[in-house]
Amino acid sequence: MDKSFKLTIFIAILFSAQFFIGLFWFHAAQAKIGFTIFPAKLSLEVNKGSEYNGVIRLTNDGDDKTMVLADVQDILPTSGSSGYSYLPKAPGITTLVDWIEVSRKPFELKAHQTREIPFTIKVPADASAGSRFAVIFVATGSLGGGGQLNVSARTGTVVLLTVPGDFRQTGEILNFRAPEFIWKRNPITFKFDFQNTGTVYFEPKGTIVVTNIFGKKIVNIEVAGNVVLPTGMRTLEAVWPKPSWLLGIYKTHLAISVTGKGDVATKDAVFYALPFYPSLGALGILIILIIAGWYVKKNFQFTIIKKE
Amino acid sequence: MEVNFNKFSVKIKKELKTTSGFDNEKFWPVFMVSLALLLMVSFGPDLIEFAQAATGSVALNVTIASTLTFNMDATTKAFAALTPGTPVQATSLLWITTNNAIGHNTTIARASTTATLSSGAQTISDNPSGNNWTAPAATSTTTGPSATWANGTTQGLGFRVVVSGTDIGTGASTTCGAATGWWGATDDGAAKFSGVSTSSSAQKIADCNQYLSGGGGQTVVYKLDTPTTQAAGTYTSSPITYTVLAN
Repeated sequence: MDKSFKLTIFIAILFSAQFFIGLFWFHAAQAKIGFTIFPAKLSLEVNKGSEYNGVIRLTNDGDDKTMVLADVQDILPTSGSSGYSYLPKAPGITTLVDWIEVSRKPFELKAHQTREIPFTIKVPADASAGSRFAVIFVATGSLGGGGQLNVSARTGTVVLLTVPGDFRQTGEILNFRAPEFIWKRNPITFKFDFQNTGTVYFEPKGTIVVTNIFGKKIVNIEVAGNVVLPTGMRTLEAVWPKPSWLLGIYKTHLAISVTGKGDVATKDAVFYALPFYPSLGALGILIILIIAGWYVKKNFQFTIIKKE
Repeated sequence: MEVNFNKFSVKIKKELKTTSGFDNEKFWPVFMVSLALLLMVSFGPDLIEFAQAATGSVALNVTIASTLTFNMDATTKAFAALTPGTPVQATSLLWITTNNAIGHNTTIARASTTATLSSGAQTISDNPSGNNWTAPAATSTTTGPSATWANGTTQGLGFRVVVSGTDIGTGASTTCGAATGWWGATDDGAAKFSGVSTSSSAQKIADCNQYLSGGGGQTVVYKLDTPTTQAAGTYTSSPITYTVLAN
């Protein structure tokens, strides 16, 4: 083979390689990326000096294989709201970030492949009682350089950890809202803001008792719990799905309780009810009865006669 | 004095009045139908419920652990060629499915502490109208550092989350958790934009605080314009990271 032929072959191979690499980049850049993570949230209670071994199941929902990188960050509750922010390490000598052990070595995950990521939480023997929060992140690496805007996806397992001991589990109900006036037989929604004033997270569960003006209990509505972090506040609601027809003044008593401690917060509210359609019906019946009476009086003659 | 009622009887006699304006023969049918209709309208559901048979019940309880799926349409987004003064747009589609009862939240951050878009030493501002996104503590009506985009005046790289309940193409659900106080009441002239938050602190851009059985979508719109003095060239970005977590 002469030199020019070899050069032609080399250039052809080079161009082919460039073409296929380009195709790969284009496909990879346009392909869907994503994860399914289980569990998305983990509520744990681990004693001082103990450890918890867990597993996160991660599935690559993307169209292509991807590199996955695990990381752990602390969660800081946002005071006065249900939100939180996360940061590499929260203020403090040791935080949950220091207690969670997970491999930070990147690994490849094929399309639709599932992998288990083991992790361990080691609570020091001298840890103080209370709650701590962190996220075990898994992130897909951006391919980078393939376009003007490069985007990457990240998700993770939120870890809510409580170290048992002498902690404060208190809260306050703010702004308990019942509908002021009810005239239809639709589901009734009660809302309230719950402020966690304690040192641990908890799910404020409780009941709303509705009584009529005579003090008779009409219904017991369950308040399902949703996590409220310390210093945080969350708007919660409870629904009376199928109320009976209500008439008059009703009192509602909301009580949030903690297992073993009874009610930690209570609040009352009042609402009024006048059922529109039954009232309309009763009025209609009354009008019809009056018309009927008038008709009978006008068209019939009543006489009392003595029998022979 | 004693009255023996057995000796008396009541006689009802229908009086025939031909001058009456009301048709006597039709009164009772009309009366009965009216009464039945009123009863049905007023107490219909209650009557049906009353008529239903009583049933026994048993309570079952189960706790289902939460799971979360987060998908994005692509890892890169390209803008059309930009002529300064005429902004260009691109979009990212985020799709989240979770069984968490109180939904999920989405945050944004760019990987670089410098600008998102750069070409060598040249950078494009991440502060359209002087705004870089920091999420307020409360959502819904609370406003944040975002502003409407004035074409020809606003410059830099901005982003926003679509607020309308538009089907974004994956599944049947709609945009969830995008606060109108943050991103504008509508997606047209009132649309508000802000700059991509720096890497040091990811910022919440949407909070879908409810369970959606079919999942929920979020559309992020990027908008870009530069001053005429911006150095020409191809600008590429450090990765913009979207993080989705269960609430």
